[in-house]
Amino acid sequence: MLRLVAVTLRRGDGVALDSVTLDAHAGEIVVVEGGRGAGKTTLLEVAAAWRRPDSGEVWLGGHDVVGLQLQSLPFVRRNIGFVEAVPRLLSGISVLDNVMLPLGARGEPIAFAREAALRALGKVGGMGLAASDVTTLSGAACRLVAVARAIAAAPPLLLLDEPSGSLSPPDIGALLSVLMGAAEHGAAVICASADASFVSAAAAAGARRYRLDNGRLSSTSGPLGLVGARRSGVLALNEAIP
Amino acid sequence: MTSSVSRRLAPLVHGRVAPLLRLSWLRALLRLSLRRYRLRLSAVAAMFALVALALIIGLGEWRVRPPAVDLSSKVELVAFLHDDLSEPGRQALAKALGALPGIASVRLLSSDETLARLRAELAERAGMLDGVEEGFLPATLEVALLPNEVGAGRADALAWRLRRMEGVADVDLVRSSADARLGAAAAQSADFRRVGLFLAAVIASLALVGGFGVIRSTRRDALVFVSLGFTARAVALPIALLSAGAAVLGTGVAVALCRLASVWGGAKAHMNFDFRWEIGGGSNSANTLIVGVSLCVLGGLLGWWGARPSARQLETLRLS
Repeated sequence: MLRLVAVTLRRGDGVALDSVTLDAHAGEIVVVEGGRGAGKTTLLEVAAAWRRPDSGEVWLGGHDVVGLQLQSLPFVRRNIGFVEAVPRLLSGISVLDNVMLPLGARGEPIAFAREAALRALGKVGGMGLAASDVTTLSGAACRLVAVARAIAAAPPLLLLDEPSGSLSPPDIGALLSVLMGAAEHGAAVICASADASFVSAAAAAGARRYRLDNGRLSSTSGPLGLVGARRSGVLALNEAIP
Repeated sequence: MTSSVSRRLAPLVHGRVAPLLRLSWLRALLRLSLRRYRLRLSAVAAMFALVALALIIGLGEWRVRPPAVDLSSKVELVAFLHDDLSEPGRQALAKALGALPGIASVRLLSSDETLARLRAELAERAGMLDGVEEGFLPATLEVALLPNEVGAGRADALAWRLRRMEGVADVDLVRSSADARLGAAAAQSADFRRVGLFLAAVIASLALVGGFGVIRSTRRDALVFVSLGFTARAVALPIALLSAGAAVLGTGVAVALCRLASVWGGAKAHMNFDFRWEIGGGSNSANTLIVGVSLCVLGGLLGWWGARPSARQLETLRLS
């Protein structure tokens, strides 16, 4: 689904991503761990077609995103659900309206979009927030709403930056369930996190682990795949989360 | 599973022309934007009201006396009325005369008032009017002209037109003093107009720049929409439509204010305020429509360019 090949991106005098090569297949969860400033966010932004790398290739669904014209990028972005470290939700409109927006970009009918948005909110346990204004939400609620917005259109690629930030352990368990559900439906899920407990929980759930240090990516576990993990019976999410 | 994913990736085609927006989503985004940006749109409407007022000052003919010149007592034309004209007829004639272009004020003097005025003008020779019976002199209309080119250039034409009006026996054109005073007043009026035009241009420019700045502040949200997969055009379209609507609203408010001022001014004895577009040959309503449509288009363009993220922002999804 997503393939980064020797992606390099400079930031000032330094290197944010140093010849990063990464594959994320449909139906699997990939976790990239690393400390602050390791380049995790930059990696996700490149994968989300928010940034063009200085060199290297970014392939999404068989298309080289780097070679696309600027006008084509919206078509790429509407196929990606991206939850930022600090989610940007629109205040002044309801949570439901926020979650419906990606479906509007894809041109889905309003009624279908509303139904899909409510379903997504239900998955993250935010059904009761549908009519709320974003400004009244806590940080954790905002993150869950952002996750709902990202999964509402069932994108084939899901990217999450610090997904466990401000979430309680039960919320993290619910989030992992949601991510696994998305993967089961064929999405490739990539999470970037500095939270060791989240990384461990995701790995226990069958996620492939990578480590990013100073822009250099290294693999810390072999590919297992969600389906394989589920078949091997290692999925005991709630127990795995501290 | 694979075919499902492929279907979802179907829009990922090089160079495909983006469908702008579904109509139902355009309506939804208009509703959301109206709710979210109501204060900003109100500010844009207020700024376009300023622009429209500036245009009214700049392109309209103002039937208002400049503050430094008081012509209420300066009479350029004196119309002597027929004796058999009834009082209502005199009033109607004065009213009709006051509505003619180029006329600042009209004052109706009865026969007695005309005699008293003549006595005052004759001063020490007023004794020659002793024994003159009441109604000896006819009722008159004293007419003051507007201190602008129209009034000065049309004094003769007005006198001629006045002579042909029913109920008017004769017209005396107070020529020498009228021309000199009107010339000076016209020059003063032109200066006043030039200052007004300059101020109007400054105000209109500032208002347009301010409106653009207000709309530009929506770009932060625009980047959120773009990150979700909306095209730049789809992001800008609702804002452009709302901005055009705000421009129409602002123009309507400005024109309504001028109309109200005109009505209010008409109710005052010495106030003569009105505006008339000096563009094209159409009626005042048609010209108002032209100005309204022009400002609507301008508002739409302002919204389009203000809300649309730049190419660099589209690529990096960062505010510069």
